Amino acid sequence: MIVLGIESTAHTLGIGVVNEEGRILADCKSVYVPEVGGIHPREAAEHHQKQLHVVLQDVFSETGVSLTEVKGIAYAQGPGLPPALRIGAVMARTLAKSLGVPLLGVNHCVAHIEQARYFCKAEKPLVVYLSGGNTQITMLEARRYRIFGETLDIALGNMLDVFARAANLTHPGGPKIEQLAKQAKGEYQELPYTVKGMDLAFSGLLTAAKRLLTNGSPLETICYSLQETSFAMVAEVVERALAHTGREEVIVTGGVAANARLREMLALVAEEQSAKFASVPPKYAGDNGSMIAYNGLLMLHAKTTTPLSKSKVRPKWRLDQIDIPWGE
Amino acid sequence: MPKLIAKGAEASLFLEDWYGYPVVRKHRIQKPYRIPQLDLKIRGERTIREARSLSSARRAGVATPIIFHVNPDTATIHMEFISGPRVKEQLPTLSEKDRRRLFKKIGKAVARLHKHQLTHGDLTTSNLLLPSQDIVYFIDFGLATMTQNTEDFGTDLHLLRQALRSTHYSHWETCYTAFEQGYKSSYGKDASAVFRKVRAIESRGRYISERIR
Ligand SMILES: Nc1ncnc2c1ncn2[C@@H]1O[C@H](COP(=O)(O)OP(=O)(O)O)[C@@H](O)[C@H]1O
Ligand SMILES: [Mg+2]
Repeated sequence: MIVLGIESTAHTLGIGVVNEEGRILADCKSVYVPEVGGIHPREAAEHHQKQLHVVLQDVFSETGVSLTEVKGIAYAQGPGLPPALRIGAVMARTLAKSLGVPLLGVNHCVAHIEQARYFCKAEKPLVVYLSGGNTQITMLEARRYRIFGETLDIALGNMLDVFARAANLTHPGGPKIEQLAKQAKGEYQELPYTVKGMDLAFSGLLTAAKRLLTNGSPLETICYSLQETSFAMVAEVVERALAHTGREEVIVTGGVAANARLREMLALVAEEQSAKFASVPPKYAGDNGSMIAYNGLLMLHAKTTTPLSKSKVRPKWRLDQIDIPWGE
Repeated sequence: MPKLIAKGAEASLFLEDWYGYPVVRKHRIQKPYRIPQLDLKIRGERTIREARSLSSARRAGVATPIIFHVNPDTATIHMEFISGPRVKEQLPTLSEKDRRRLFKKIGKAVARLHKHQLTHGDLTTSNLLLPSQDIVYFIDFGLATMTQNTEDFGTDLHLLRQALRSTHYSHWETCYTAFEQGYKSSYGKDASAVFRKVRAIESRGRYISERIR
């Protein structure tokens, strides 16, 4: 028995397959790269529409499994960009109906977190979820992800992407910033550091970093300073959340988790608070189809399938609005 | 021999003797994860900020530990030892009525801070001590700010609301409603503007569809 999952919330069209135990059998994707500027929702949707069949082909040639073994179709129902979300949802409905198998509407954020828990083998971790669209410190408690801290303005990944574009770095910007930061040789320029309780804010930092850019500071120095400042902010709120909750494990996921400096800092934070640290493998840090498939599997086991009447996309679906039947 | 009584997020706290008086030495320790420039600056700033704000809060009529000594260079504060549990541990053991009473009191105290242009900056139940039934001590003012901005007051309330929702999810609504009542009774009619800010803050910046280009 296998479950197929479709991810199409933002840049990535991903299709993945997991088996009964959650092991990944396939994880294929095609990523939309805007020609100029940030993501254009309609263009992303067009890209996903065009690539659907290509990526699906890849999945089946990679796994060698056949459609008849599929016992559930999972799709990212939200949160995300409405036009992009709809592509995945339409595909999922069509597949589920023609195969006569249940439809599984997955929350994209929960999927990231559950896949990270699976890889990290973490029972009750504090979760640090850092991506282009989300920045949250959360924990599963009594069937719900409780949010202890989050961004008050833009997401960490979004901040890095926007800065990268302002600096004319090619997409994806995160890894480029990381590379440049390594070449900075420790020259640090002060940038706004904004922590409010367990919450964060990044827009002031972004504005100041862009200003350094126009003032002609070396790009390496700015990248280094930007990383050191923003990651230290995250590290601080994570430490605060660990001290406040007393949790003994901390894991990180989301696109920014692919950054080695960030992982290094969080590992040190965990050590400070005598907690264990683990990260999702960098390959699965970003958006992918297998996490949707895996979450679909969990839903199938919990018998929480999505009736057609409730399958509409949910662009603003919040992490803390979802009942987690496996999180007793 | 100093005794470690708590390892907080920022500091290690030791119980010590100060000329026969029990005091807490709060030492903001060096953090290996951040670069030294940033680390020194943060620890020094927070120490000064905390010492100042503990006194300002006290002048505003909010119970805080008395300060005996401050040293920004070593990032340490010696302050009065408050013997009693934290609200975090006490809250679940209280009756519904006592919980309401307690949070009304907390609401009044926070309004008093705000009327004196002071925010706490990290309102969680870990930072409230209960030496007796009738008195709540506010501690941990390292993120406090002097401000006249409604947005900052709203942020203070949002932080408490978030902490209640996440940590005390079975009781959060009772507590927060009582808090609002207390806050309003002391802050006056402009409290509704602060409550509106809380809602505005919480509907901002949270969704992927609102990411900036
Ligand atoms: N004056 C005090 N008297 C008694 N206990 C205190 C006092 N100050 C702090 N504590 C204890 O130490 C813990 C951490 O102190 P806090 O000032 O909140 O530091 P941090 O910034 O590291 O969170 C508190 O939660 C409380 O249990
Ligand atoms: Mg504290």
